[in-house]
Amino acid sequence: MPSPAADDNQPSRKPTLNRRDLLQGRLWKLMRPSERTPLVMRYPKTRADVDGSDLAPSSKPSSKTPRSIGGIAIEPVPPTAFDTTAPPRSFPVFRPPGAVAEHQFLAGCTRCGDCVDVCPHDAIVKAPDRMGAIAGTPTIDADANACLMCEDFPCISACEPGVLSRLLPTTIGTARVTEHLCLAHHSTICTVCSERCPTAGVISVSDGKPTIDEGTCTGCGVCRYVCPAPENAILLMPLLNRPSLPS
Amino acid sequence: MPISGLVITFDQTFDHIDETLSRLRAEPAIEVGACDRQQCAIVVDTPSQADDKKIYQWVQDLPGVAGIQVAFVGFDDDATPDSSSTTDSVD
Amino acid sequence: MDSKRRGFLKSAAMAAASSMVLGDGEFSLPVLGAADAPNDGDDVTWNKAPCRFCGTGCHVQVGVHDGRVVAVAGDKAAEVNKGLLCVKGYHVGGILYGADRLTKPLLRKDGRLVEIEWDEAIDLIAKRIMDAPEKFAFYGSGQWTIPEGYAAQKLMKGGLSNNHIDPNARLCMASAVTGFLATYGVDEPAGCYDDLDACDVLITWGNNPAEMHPILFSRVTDRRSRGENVRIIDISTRRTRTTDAANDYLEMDPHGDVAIALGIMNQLIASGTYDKDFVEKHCAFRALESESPTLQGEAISEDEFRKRIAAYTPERVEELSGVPADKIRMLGKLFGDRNLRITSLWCMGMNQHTMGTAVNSLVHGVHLLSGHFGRPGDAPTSLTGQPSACGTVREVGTLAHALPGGRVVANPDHRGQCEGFWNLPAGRISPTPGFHTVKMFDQFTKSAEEGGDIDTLFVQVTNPGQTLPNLNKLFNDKEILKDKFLIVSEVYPTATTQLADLILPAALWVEKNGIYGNSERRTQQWFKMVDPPGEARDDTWMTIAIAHRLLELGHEGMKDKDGEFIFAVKDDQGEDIPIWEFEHYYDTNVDKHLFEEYRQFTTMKHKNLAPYDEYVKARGLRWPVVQQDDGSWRETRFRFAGFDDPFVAEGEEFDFYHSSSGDGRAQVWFHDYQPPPEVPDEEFPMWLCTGRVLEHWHTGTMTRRLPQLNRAMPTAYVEMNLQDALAQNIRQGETVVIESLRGTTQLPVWIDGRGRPPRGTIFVPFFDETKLINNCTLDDHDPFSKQPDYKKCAARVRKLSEASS
Ligand code: SF4
Ligand code: SF4
Ligand code: SF4
Repeated sequence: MPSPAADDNQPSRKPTLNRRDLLQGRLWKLMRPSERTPLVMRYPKTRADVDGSDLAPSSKPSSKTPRSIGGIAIEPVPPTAFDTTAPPRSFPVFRPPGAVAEHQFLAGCTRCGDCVDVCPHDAIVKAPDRMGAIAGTPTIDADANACLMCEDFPCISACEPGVLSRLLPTTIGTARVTEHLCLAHHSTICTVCSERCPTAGVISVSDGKPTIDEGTCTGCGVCRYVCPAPENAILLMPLLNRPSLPS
Repeated sequence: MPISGLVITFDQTFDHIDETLSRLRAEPAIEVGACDRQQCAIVVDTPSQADDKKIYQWVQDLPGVAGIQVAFVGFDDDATPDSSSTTDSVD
Repeated sequence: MDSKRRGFLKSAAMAAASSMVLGDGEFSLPVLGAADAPNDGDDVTWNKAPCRFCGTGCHVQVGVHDGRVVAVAGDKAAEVNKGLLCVKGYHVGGILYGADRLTKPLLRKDGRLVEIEWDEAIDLIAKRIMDAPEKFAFYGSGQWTIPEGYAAQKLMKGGLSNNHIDPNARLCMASAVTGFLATYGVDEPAGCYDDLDACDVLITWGNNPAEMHPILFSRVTDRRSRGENVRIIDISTRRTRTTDAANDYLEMDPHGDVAIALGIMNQLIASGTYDKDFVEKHCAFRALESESPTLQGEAISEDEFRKRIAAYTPERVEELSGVPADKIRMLGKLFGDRNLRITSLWCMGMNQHTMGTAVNSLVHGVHLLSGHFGRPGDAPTSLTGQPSACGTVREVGTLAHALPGGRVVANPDHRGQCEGFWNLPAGRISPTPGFHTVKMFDQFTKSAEEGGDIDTLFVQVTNPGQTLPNLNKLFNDKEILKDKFLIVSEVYPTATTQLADLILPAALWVEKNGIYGNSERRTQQWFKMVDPPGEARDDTWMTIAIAHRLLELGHEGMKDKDGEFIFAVKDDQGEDIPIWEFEHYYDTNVDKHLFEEYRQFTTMKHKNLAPYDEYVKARGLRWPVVQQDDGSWRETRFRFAGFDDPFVAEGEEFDFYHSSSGDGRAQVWFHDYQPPPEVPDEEFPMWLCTGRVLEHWHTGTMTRRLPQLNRAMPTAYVEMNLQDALAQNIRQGETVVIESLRGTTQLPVWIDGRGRPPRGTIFVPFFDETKLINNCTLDDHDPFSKQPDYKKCAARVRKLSEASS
């Protein structure tokens, strides 16, 4: 991070929008920081609560008074229900590095799981059954474990049918900082993503705020994995138009 | 459920801008923001794209309105445009 | 959530459209306002509480649903943080819900921990105390709430006539206290955070507020983004995130701060730019006695002071500190300019220092001599690391030598006053100071035969098994000593509970009522919002229950002069409320009773507190809080300054009304530079410095349970200079062994990371319970404050392969 020169007390810059920002709805750029919606950290409610509202909205468990001594509950606090929150309707799928275009990938991948087994960081997992057509194919979920972009790509070497290929770019997507969620844009200090991005020079920090170079970002998702903002401030998107292999 | 931010430009020869403004203010789907003699910012919040078009047309036809620019269109939808447009996405 | 998102979209749409109309970004934006920001529906109730972590003392809004904390947001109504939080603060609610919360008292039987009932636990403790009351010690914390510390203080000094009570704050701000006492005759800063909004120059002395007090630091950097000019000067032994934002970085050698402060004073005197008027009216000069020096020292004349300070020329200071002479002149010039407002910030760098008292006094001296004192923005301000180091430790006086309200056990009048307030028979309080922290643990980890005369130790709200220096000497030996009994009240298993004989599950943060006092004299109250898990209980209750059990066992000290229980609370009919039974503890607000009792102690040193109910209404109030003619209560932002401090007589500009020279003057100290107790040599060639990181708070017992923070900062590391690493053929990320004369630990290397030490220096954070750097640190301490120096000792780095061969 470059340190400012002695007299460089950066005057407030006027926010500007370009077309791309507009298309991507990055309108918060226009708001002055003081006017930004404050960050709120929300915790999953209790398991009973989640089950109740998800499965049988009408039969929400009557909030039965917990066993207590003089108003002090002696019931253990139910565990946090990280795994029972409803999955979103639509979500992006990330393929391991070097994956061919999706139609070729789906056709060629034998669901053998070899790439899953060789990944030293447990980043590759088989898509679960509820994912329908793609169930069993390898995916990467940076929220669980990010791809660390191994130098030798054991996953590609392990792929026998060759739907992961060294001939193709190993980029799996791209990341962006969602500024209105980012701590560095909320008058506090956070430099985690820029410190941990494994690819040199992708995240630059100016005035304490990170910017991702979408051209060189590999989409590994490390930044998303480590971002400690109350709502994850890294938007990660898979590579949209993966090239096909000449067959 | 579209939400759009529009900028209306007024015809400089038109004298009854206040009237037009009050008609805008009276329309429940429209919120009127910053205004001066030449331009006015509004937000249109409608249940469907068809309604959105209708309102747009209505505004266009108001007396004194010379033009409308679109500053922002947002969809109150969970899927972000980015991920819903990917071929890899799963529903 | 849906309507919230719509609201956001609408504001964004309006922002976009309006900006096009107005063209210059000067539009008023209908964004979600403060009131409706955290609006999660009717089933979430919101309440205020100070953040559980650092000494900044931000307020959070806590959302509770169905007996559980479900949301946390910054509190817009709080002056300290104005709705903002640092990364830890946003996650503070999660600390209650780690998977391994302790929920049942556990007793070690034949090496195994078995669950027992509370009654048995309390009985056991009381009997151990009964057996040998003088061999019992209480180790507390700057995270104790004020009532928790006050109850412990009363049990020990008022009930057991035993002064062996000391807090972990001894390791963290004891030198700040002695610095204030030596200079002003009374503890705690004169200024407050408002200085940060007014200063032109901010000097961080061995301090990294960007990571450790981020909300305070961003108060300053935000001013810059509003176009204001603030010059930040970072004086440090390594580059940090604070350096990134600084205009000047002055790299000093360890202990260089002492020389730099002397150098500035030298320049002020030499150029005649010191504030003659202020010094003449409000200051006196002081130095240590040559024979058996004391904290008070002896008065010296101004001439004598000039003579001594003359030796610290910029060139000499350069030699001692490594900071170029012209930079010292630059600092001298800055302080010589009365048109500037200069605020100094410091924290552990100057406190964890074998010359801690000296360097604290010297920096105060720089401000006094130059007259950069007592105007908004002109302040020497010491920060604390713990949320109630000021409130509970310094004000309640939970230190081995102290009594509440700035009193000391050695003073018969002070003892008499406390006995009066507590309605105790005369002579109950012992005049001999108890063991300070290092001594206490030394005595506890020594067998009785070797003179180790502490055999039962009760630890509340802290983790000495990780934070004591030189752990192998001061803690780890406990394991082999069979006659020692360690009681630990905790929320999670820690390095300390590992060796505990009895573990008590404690209520945490908003699971109990509480009051904290932050770094700017701000006293902050909160209410219990959710129930603790399982059988976890309040620390204050534990203390009172033990006291009551002692009473039942016939300990005379548990009775006051009239034979009443010392913690008795009466209902309207004059009947005892049995608060020692947990099912009745919340029949009344015990915090309020204790606070109102404690409040009487605070007026002697003019640290007046308002009644409890005033704090319920406020987001904290800065003492002295004094009642006005109209019945309202007014806080004080700037002490000793006539324009704000109600205790400075009308018409006076300044009055140091607790002056140790008794004439309303503050003391400008002279101290000679002394080298650090251990310096790198051939065998141990590196300086080792320790500290914290942004994401974890202290030993990480709370923050390590938060997945987001742990992902952001998963492990401790050793920061190394690239050249040092190259010279030893050490790669980025490689695990190395850090060794000192006292112990070793293994850590991965981070080169050019968050902190960038110069050649010959390494830095290791202490939060990681799996990589205990305090195996290596030094237990040498300041002679007056008894605070150990964690910031510098000699160490070496070895590759794993070399170390194991
Ligand atoms: S910016 Fe994020 S996704 Fe892109 S390379 Fe860096 S860590 Fe990976
Ligand atoms: S880690 Fe997240 S919150 Fe921190 S700077 Fe990066 S995007 Fe912002
Ligand atoms: S840890 Fe300190 S700076 Fe961060 S939110 Fe809590 S009190 Fe504020």
